Amino acid sequence: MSTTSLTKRMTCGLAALTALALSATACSSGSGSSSAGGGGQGGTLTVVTPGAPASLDPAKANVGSDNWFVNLTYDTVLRQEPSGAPSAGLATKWGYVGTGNTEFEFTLRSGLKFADGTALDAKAVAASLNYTRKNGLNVSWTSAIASVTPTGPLTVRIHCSSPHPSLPELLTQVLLAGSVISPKGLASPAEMGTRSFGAGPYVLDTAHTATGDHYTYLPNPLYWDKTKIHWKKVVIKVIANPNSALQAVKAGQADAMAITANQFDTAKSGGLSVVGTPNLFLGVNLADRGGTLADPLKDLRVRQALNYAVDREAITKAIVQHHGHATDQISLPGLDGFAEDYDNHYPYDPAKAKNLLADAGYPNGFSLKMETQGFFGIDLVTQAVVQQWKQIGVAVDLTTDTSVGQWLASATSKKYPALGFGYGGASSYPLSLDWMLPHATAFNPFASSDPKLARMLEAAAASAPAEQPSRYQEAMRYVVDQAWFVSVMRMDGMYAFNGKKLTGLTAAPSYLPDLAWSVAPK
Amino acid sequence: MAIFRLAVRRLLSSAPLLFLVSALTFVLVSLVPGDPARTIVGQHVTVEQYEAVRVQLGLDDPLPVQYWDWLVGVLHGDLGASLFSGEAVTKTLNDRLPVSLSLIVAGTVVSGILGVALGLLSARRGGLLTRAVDLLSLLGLAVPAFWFALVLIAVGAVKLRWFPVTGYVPFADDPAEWARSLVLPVISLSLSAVAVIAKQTRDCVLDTFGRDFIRVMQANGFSRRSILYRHVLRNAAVPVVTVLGVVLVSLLAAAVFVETVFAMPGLGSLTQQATVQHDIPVIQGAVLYITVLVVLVNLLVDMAYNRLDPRVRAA
Repeated sequence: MSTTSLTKRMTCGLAALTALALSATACSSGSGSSSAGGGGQGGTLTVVTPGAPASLDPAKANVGSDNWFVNLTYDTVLRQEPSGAPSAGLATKWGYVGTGNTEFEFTLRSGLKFADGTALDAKAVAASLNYTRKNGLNVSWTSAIASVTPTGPLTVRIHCSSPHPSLPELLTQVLLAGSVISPKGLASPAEMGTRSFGAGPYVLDTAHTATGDHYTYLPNPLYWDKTKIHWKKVVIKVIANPNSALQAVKAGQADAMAITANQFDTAKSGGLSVVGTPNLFLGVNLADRGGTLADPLKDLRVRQALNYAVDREAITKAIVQHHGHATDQISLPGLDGFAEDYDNHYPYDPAKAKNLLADAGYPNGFSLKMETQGFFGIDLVTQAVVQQWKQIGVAVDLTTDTSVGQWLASATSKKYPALGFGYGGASSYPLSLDWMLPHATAFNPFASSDPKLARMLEAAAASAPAEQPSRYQEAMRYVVDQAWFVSVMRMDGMYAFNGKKLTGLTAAPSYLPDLAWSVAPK
Repeated sequence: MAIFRLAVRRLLSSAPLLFLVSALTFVLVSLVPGDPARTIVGQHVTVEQYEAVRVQLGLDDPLPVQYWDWLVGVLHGDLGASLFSGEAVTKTLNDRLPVSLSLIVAGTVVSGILGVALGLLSARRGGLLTRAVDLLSLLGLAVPAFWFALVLIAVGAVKLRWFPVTGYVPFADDPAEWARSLVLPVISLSLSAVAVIAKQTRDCVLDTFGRDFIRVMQANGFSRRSILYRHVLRNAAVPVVTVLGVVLVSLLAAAVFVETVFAMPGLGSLTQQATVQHDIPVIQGAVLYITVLVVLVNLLVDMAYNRLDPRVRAA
């Protein structure tokens, strides 16, 4: 009897706890993200990202992973359309002055204000751009800029010491450098990591933001174009676990997220809409082309043999199924450097690879030290390549890094002659700064120098816009001929979202869905 | 008064432990490959910019100097700032502490109540129930908690939509939503703990019931209720409390994955994220907080012993 009584009491206690939780369920189901309201403005938009931003300071944020966090609060000088074309942003007129792509001028709208009430004029914009080029993390993209000066109340002139053909792109929301920071922000740079000082359609609601977990944005009452403010509230929720993130979107707790190829079927079966486009290429960077650490790599025949030994179609199908495409180059369809005829320049031919190795004096192959990254599927591609290289006698000692910090330290350490890579699609000028010119970067750690290539890139950078694609495509063909890398595939970047609630979520090469302006209630 | 003296003595003796743990953490973190300055500056900077960031963060100082600077800050109540967000570590940790505490306290309460209840039932009823508790214990220990959490999400959140998939609502904002946001994480956190406590309780109760003094009491006509509540439970409670203390500490560790799967902004997910980023001040601060929690749990267990077992009081 006594144990029965005890059991009853315990059961009552547990029932009370359960009742509390279930009553909460009954009271609040569906409150995770409210549905879009009428009148062109929705309630709350909740999007999911896998990681917290490196910083909310546009100059110190990571291009690609941090754009959503920054774009909502910082308007940019220009806006990039999904087609890649620049359009009006804070500036209504822009263009190069004269020939040679070294002088650029733009004119701002009148009457603009930052969210803190300060006037947004040419002086403020010039100060912001100068801060970014001097303190920003993407210094290689801005290194050609010698000065930014106001030439009138609303006009700003950018002077470059060498041709910079991508200034319009640099000033858009995609590459972040054109994000305009208020003088108050520039006066307290330490605060920019956790607060917003922009003139974007939203402001960061610090009271309802928990760094590293979720970031809440509310409309900016001083924004110059209120028709662009589609939501009463935008929340970016950080969910590191991709399964939990997708479940959150499926359950309606969030509205959109980036997904990987192996999540595609789950997203579609859960009733979500999915958009995708090629936006990342993966492979192995044969970085030590001078043979500093690995003597065989300085021989072009060896590098070409390593290309012929890889069955790209099989690897692509195995890893991303139909969400990718085998390729030998490091550009994407739709971008200026993409050479369509070079997608299959090194068809799979292990016999030819062996012959080339024998001609180069390595009939039995050789050993190679390599680093790769344990995220975005880069390691899977690298491991598949390593297995295929075994067929021609190339044995790889592979190290896998598991964080961005580890990868960057390894990639720039000059301890690895070959590096697994994943790189987001970019137009040719910024791509050439990272990969092809003799600067030490994470993608060219040994600062490989090729005078012919440098001349080709210099001529392309200084040419008129109409000539640039053909010149950059020639440069791309040249580096593929020189087998600087073993590109394996271009992979689709995909987004799953609640298609019944959202519209305007667009994917395109070298473009990110424009959360601040385009994603709107349906 | 004796309990007060015990608490003071234990807290004072934990100071060297805190020092040792923080020093060991600092050394271990410094051994992990990676470089916070590299992570911060990214892939497009010059060597000069990278070096400038290292100097600015004090990462160019020798390790003992870095640790000493941190220690001096701690003694002045300053845990430093995150290398990435720049936010004060104390604020970050204080924001996250309630999440982990909610999870762990709720997990302990649920594990304790369910575990003791199942253990008692199994001990008194025997038969099928005992076998069921055995099976549950086996399942609780064998089923991977990570997988179990994903199943809970798929069923409880996506299919039935009774509970949120992820996130945490502070108690002060909405108590009902707070409870709702804790249900799935607490269930997944408690599964193995319930199994361990149930088994321990059953074994202890059976062991106590088998002792001579219980038989004497039964022979003297004491009621079953009185024997169970006043004597068996009290005697069985000491080892169960020990297990409960161990479970509470193990829940601190398990909270890392639960917070990650359910995207809860607690100390566990923060530590995991900071470790990946090599954010040394945050890691140091989080480990300090967690160590203090462990010390407090052990203190509570000792105080419970003191209360439950007269021999401990006498000692």
